[in-house]
Amino acid sequence: MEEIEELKKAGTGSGKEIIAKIMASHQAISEKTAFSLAKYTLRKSRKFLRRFTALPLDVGRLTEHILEKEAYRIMELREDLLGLICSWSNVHCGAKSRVLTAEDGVSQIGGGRWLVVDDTAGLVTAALAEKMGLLYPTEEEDDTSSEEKETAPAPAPAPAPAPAENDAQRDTAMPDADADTTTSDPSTRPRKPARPHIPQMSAYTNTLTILHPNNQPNLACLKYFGYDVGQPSPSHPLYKHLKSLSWLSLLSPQDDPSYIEPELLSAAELESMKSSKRGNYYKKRRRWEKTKRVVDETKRGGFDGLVVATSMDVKGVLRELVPLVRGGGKVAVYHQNVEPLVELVDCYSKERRAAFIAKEFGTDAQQTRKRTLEADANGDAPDEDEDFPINPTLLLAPSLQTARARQWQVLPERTHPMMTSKGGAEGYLFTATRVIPVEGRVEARGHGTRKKRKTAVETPAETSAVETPVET
Amino acid sequence: MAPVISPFLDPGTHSAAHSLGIVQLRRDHLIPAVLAPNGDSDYAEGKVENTRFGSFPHSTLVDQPWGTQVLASVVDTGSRGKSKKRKRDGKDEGAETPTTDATETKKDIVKAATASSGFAHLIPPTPETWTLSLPHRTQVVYTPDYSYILQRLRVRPGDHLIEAGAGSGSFTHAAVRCVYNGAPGMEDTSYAAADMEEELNAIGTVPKKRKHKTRYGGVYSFEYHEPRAKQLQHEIVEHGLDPVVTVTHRDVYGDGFNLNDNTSPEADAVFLDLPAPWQALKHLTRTPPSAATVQAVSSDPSTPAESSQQAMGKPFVSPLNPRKAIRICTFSPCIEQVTKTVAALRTLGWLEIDMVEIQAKRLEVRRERVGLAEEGLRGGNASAATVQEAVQRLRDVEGRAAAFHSQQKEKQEDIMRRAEARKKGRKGENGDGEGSVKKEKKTPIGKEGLPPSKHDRLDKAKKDLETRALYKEGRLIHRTEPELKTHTSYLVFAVLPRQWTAEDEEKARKKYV
Repeated sequence: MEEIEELKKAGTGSGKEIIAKIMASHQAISEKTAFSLAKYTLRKSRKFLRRFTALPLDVGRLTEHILEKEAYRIMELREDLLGLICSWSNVHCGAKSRVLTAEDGVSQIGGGRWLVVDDTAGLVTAALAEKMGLLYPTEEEDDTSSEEKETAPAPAPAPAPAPAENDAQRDTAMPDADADTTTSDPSTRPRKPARPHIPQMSAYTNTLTILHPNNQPNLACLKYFGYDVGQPSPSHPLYKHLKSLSWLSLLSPQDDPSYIEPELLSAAELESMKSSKRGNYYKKRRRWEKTKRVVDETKRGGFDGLVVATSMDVKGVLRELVPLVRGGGKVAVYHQNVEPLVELVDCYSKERRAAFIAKEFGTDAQQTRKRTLEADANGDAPDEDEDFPINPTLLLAPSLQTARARQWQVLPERTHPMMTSKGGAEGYLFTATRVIPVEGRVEARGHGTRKKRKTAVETPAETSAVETPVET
Repeated sequence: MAPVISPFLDPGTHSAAHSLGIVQLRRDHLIPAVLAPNGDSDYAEGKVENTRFGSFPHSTLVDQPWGTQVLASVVDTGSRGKSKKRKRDGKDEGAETPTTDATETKKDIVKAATASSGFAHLIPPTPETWTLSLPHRTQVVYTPDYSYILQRLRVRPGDHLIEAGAGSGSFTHAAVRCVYNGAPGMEDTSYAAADMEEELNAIGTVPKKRKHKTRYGGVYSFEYHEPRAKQLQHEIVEHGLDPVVTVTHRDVYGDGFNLNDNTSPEADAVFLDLPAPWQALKHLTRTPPSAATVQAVSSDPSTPAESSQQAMGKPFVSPLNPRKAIRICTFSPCIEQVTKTVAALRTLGWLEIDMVEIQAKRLEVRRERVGLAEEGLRGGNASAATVQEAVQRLRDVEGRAAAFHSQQKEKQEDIMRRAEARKKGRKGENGDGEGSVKKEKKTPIGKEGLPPSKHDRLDKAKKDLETRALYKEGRLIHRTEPELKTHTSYLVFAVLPRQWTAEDEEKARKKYV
């Protein structure tokens, strides 16, 4: 016994000896079967021969880690579901994508931008950022040096967006946003601070836009990847590519103080100010510019996808956000429980959609037209909130799925599924594609026989249900 | 507009000619179509996609905003080109869209007329939609599997991935999405996407330098079967993914994973969808494996253990990225394959070996309507919803039966009475008149008080249907969809840590201490 204790103290490298000693001193070892002996040796080597592999932290490992201790913080999101979310949201690196202007000349489309509602303390955001190549600060030595070089010569802080935006969208001049930023130009440009300011949330493509219910987004998980939301380091890719705005700024920006433009001071006035006050002035201006930029951009819509993992009512979330997704864009909604998503799928059911279309495009064409315009603007018919909380024609092929990875033990002759694993929330994913419905009544076709039977029944009625071929 | 790399990666606002679009008819019924409005075709409208939901000429699909609901067109599917046969043999047309095709007489492409019914949605391709619609050549790796695999393999933009056993290419497309971060040659056109404004301001040296260093992601796809390899290559080019994917026709068991010019793909992750992955593993090492390990790995007598490395006489080049830990996943349907693979992985020094199986299911959501009001309607269960309803129905039935019986009885009595009256009639006229008056009075009263007959109930149910909102009635339920994939394959994951030499140690010490 003492020998063993001594060997333990001796530290590294003595594990094998300890095991040999223990095995030698075990009296009943001869009574063990071959299997139990193997098990015993394995147990002992696990105890005394500590070996480990150092692997870099990544999203998968972080998920495992948090799931063990505080699963509720991340909505019990498992890696299998995380994989599904990343696939179905079609998230990918959009650094080389183009932001294009839609036909109406105001909305924008594409550019590798995803809209996110994240109540998983930033885990979903981290996973998406990983897939977009934004999560990890540039690592290799030569790379970091170039990053510094790159940021150092950046001269003008705020005025940059204007020319850049025009460049990206050559054909149409951006309406209001540009005008505003350019007016602020003359004041900010001459008083360029010594320390170059890199505008936060200023990237145009390959971005994530987070909508959060509080003043600040809860993105605690990002701190494991070198990004502190409170004090983000400008060299981290997320600094420019992660945008956040509150529900308030999106839905009623006029009530959000950070959206209201602070008073613009002339150069002379600034000259006469105390330096601390001047600093404050710039800080306020920049905050306003940031908020305005993000809010205006978000309102112009055209996101490539929408990812929702929230404990809020998903129907309300989708009502506001689905219209901001581009045609053909993907919508993925995660919830740890199935019920909210079942309700959501029901809002897009075939019958409900048929009823919605019948209601919208029923008899009075004039009235209908007006109503659709309204509906387009709000994403739903305002007076039909209860029956149609969401415009059911905006999403195609809504479906609900789940997946679970079942672990196996693989040993020669002893291969079987693990005897135990974790229960808890199953986790479900709602997926759909944003589409642009044709205005007016659309007659489906395809169910030849069924249709005949139906029309035979309903011919006298004007409101005969419109059959939609895409089954829910 | 800048040239597009691929509709998979950056679809733009509208569908474009000569690039892939997906026509979605139902959730699992999608048609991939390389849009060719001027394509050669027998139809007057040019190339047409004919479906049971209508015909969609490509000219109506090109240059549409993605996600548009496209209405079907009237296409003469029966008579093609010059032959002026009757078109009654067209499957879909005939019945619903009577002859309006008088317009199409010219040889050049006719503007398609919108049909009275039928529509589809035009959506940009994604690996998911492609997986649902691709032409099957082999077993397909479906979305739940590949999404989990790519998540576990930690494939990120800029990584290189080896895929062996490319098969139908569903995994290839998903992998491209993960590794893609641009491609050489496309910077000139689309780099100016206003990505970073300070770069725009500091035009010149900085961006150029950056570009040089960027490691572009790539998928290195190997396929043993030559026609399949060719077909995949063709698809990859058609989809505009050729800058990212390298397809090689190769027997990886014998010849390994280096490219044809023996350069290394420098892979960060490996996915093997092979019948015998353990035979390929000997090529996935950092240093040439000793003959003994090779022997041990392929100890199975049924597999020929030839040491290909010596036979080729080429210097050893590892296909792996020397600076990173390599993650591998093998995809095998049978448990025997798994045991062999795991044994080989252990011999070759792979760590964190883990085997899982993905159990995915889709749920259907619907409303289950139960109640006597559903009688005779489709989609409802017409049994009693509650005890009260059952009791009421039984009462009704009993009431009707009683009424019926009493009626019968009365009729019987009536007949009897008449018979008696007839007998009596010969003697006096009174009885007959009395009986008829009684009968006339009786019948209407009975009908009114009577519970509704089955016929009445059905009529009422039908009438009520017009005012009911079925979409919010009944109980909302969910259940697994009828078709269930209970087993796809076993997934074996493992990690090969990077080699750590004394030099690396020294370097790290200098940097961090």
